[in-house]
Amino acid sequence: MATVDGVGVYQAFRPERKAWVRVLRGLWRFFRRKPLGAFGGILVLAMIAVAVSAQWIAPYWYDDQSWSEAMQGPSLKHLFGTDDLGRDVLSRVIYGARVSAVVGFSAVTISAVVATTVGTVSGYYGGWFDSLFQRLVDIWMSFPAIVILVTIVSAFSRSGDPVHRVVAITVVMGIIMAAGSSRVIRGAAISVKTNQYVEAARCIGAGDLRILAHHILPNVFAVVIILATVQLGAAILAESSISFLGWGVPPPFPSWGQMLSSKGLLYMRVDIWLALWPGLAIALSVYGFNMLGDALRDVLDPRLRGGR
Amino acid sequence: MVIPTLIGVTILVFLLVRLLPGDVVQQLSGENAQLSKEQRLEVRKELGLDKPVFQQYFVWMSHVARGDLGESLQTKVSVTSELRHRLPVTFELGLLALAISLCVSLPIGVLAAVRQDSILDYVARSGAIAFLSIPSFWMGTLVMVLPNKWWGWAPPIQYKNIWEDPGENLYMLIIPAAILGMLLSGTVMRMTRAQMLEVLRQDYVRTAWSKGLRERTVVARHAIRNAFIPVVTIVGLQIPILVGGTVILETIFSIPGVGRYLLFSIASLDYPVVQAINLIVATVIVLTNLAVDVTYGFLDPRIRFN
Repeated sequence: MATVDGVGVYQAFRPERKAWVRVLRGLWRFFRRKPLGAFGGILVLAMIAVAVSAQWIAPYWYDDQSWSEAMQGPSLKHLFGTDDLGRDVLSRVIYGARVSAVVGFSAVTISAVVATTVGTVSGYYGGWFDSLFQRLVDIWMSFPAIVILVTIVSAFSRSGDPVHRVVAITVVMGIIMAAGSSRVIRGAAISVKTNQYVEAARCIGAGDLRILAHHILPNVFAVVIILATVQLGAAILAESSISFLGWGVPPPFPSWGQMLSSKGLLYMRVDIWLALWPGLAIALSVYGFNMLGDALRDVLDPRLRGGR
Repeated sequence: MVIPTLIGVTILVFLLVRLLPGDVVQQLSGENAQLSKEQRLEVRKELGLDKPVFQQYFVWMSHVARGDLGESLQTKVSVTSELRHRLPVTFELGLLALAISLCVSLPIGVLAAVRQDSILDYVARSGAIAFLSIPSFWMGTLVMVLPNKWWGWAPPIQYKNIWEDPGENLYMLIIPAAILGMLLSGTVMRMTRAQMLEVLRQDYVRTAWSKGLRERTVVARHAIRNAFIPVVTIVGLQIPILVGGTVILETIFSIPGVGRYLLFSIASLDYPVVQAINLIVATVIVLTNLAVDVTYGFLDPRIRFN
């Protein structure tokens, strides 16, 4: 029954929606407006779901070897076929998602935090701090990522501990990506700080911290999100690239890149399916992150919304 | 500002290379050789490894300043002369890839932004992003595997010098260059589209529209110039990716460039070579960054550096 006070009347006319209904509606709107982005999102979710539930959905353990079944094409028993050791390729691709997801997400988290801090502060303050950091970034970025990765990771693999190696890959990748994106974020911060509203904020006595947090950061945040989404794809690519070259995640643990490594080229010439599945898994995951990143950009950046 | 960066680069190269695992003396004398302690010390002394690290650094730098990049521990060949053969190969591959990627990505990026959310936009975006998402080593592997299986054709792996046989040379490099170019064009296309969209929403572009200018004028004269400023940075940022890509593609297609030499040297602990290549690559990239900064100021009068 509607009460006389304002709140009651308001509620009578507009019943409050539950949170999950609002989320669902938001998702549905995103789905309708950005079908490709939504498709990317579905690929990303699928990859994460596969990574999380690998031990339940994989038909075999990733290192189960059966010599009598080696080098078979796709069949009902082994949907993606088997490799030269008779291991089920589908199971290995499924467990490979876990490696990619863990390495990718950790590296990008490191990258985003470091890059946003360095980029905004460096761009906003300028001066010696900016010069110093930009020189450090210059130095770091003057090396192709793959070279630094291989050098440092091969140094860490001395101990032979797979966990050490994966941590080394993740941290080095995060810092490499942070260098690149900190420069983009710095560029965005420089162009934001010349805006009049920043000047206005300073006129009313706002401090540096307030301007950074309330004016600079929200305006470069879209750039951060887009970079992070795209970098997730890049991180998966980088991990698989060095695994391909033989310095990545060590066997027997399955990594998509390692499954494609040139050592297997001979087997791939015999059975092309071996070359197909892991590459397809990499390409689809990276594609998902990239499409999602693109759509997020259009949705998140208010300046790009609507218009002509 | 370029000089301190380069000095920093040399220090980092020097330190990174010393992270390389394994004992170079053991590597040099073969895995199974049994060396006495005295013999080891002798070899280390010969290589200058018995001196303190900073002294090793200054010795190395004084040689570099005289154009002497040292000699390979494995083959005893001077690194400078080895690089004289290999640098042009990698340079050609990179340049070819960059040219392919810019020809594809810039026009598509602009068009996709101008016709946002049209069929063209969707096709261009998903197509370019598909190229970006396909690992270059996978494309390379497929090119090695599939045509061989289907038609019995395999890419050439016998490298010919461009001055001796330009046709064969191009025949060999065009496939890896196209694969590398596709990888780059994804990023550049995205950035071009994104920047165009941003610029097209700005007031001065609306002014241009309301003056009744033709679309071509608005886009080509008013929007592109501002939109391309950050794109220049992105293209500059692609150079290390380009070099990284050449490492992988040279390995797959057996191109005798710098990248393959580098990987081989890291694996065989040939640190004078690793140092030299890193130094060269880093120098190229530092100079590219400088060029990007200068172009930035040239393109955008609002951002002038003192």
